[in-house]
Amino acid sequence: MGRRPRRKAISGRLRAQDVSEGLELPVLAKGPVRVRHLAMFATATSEFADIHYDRDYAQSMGLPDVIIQGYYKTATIAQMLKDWAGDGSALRRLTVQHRGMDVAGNTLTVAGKVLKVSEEPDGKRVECEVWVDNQHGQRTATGKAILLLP
Amino acid sequence: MSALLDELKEYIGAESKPVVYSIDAGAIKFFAESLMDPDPLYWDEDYAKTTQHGRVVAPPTFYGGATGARTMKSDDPRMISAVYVPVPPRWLGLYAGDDFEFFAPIEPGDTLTCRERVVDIYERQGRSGHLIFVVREKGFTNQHGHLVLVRRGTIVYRGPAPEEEGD
Repeated sequence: MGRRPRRKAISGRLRAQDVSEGLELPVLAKGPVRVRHLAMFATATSEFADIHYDRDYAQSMGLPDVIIQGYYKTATIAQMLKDWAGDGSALRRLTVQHRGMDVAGNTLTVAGKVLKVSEEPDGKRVECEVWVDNQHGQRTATGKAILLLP
Repeated sequence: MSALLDELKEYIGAESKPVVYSIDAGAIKFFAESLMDPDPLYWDEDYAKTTQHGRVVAPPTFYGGATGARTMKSDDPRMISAVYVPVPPRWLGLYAGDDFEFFAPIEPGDTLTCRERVVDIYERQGRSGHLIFVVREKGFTNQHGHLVLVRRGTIVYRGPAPEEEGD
């Protein structure tokens, strides 16, 4: 790569005064998520469970196909929150319930909504509801997040 | 089945030895790439200098590999966790839930110490059969002695279908 990649301001600064209860967060579309991504994720996290990249093994365990890691979906929710809140913000807590399985090849839609906004000494505390849907309209993960905005 | 649960419950409170390991810039980039996250904050020092962080950091939820990865083979069940809980073979384990608390960013070059313990083990009768839940907590401290991350993860284990039992 001789030329520098064009810089897109991915981590722009969110204006805390624009955040209020009920605000819908920008949707993050992800996918299709391939076995390649799951294998890379397993390597980066040192969590080698064969059901996430070996189709024959996954099917021998009674699964329909290779399964997207729950941890992968948790990480995509963290990305959606970071892309939205941007530079200067801090993700404080992320709690996720994995309610359904997603197989490799699925396309995920990661989204959320502001539940509560409160003032804290070091910024604005924002509590959000978050979720992951797949292309079949199944909500396979739900959760809550707490962020601090400057 | 309760006999199995009784046996596993002995492991509640079990703690790992501290696992000390370093955070590699390549693994951070790899993690971001696997998530298809194009944010240059995770790999471009020049870009990172223009942000509040001032340097490359890891994405939230990344902590590298803090299991026994460095001392055991990759197919060892203890790879997922430094605290061994003897769930029988052929039980399918999946993450049922995750709870991350973030205190400070993790950066390439950090030396982290992970301490892990088994918080709870319980069972439930699910639609698809008998389920055992194991809740583990991993706490990560950096080289400055600061707690940077806590992950409380719940793995649900499903036993083999009845016709498979006794294989």
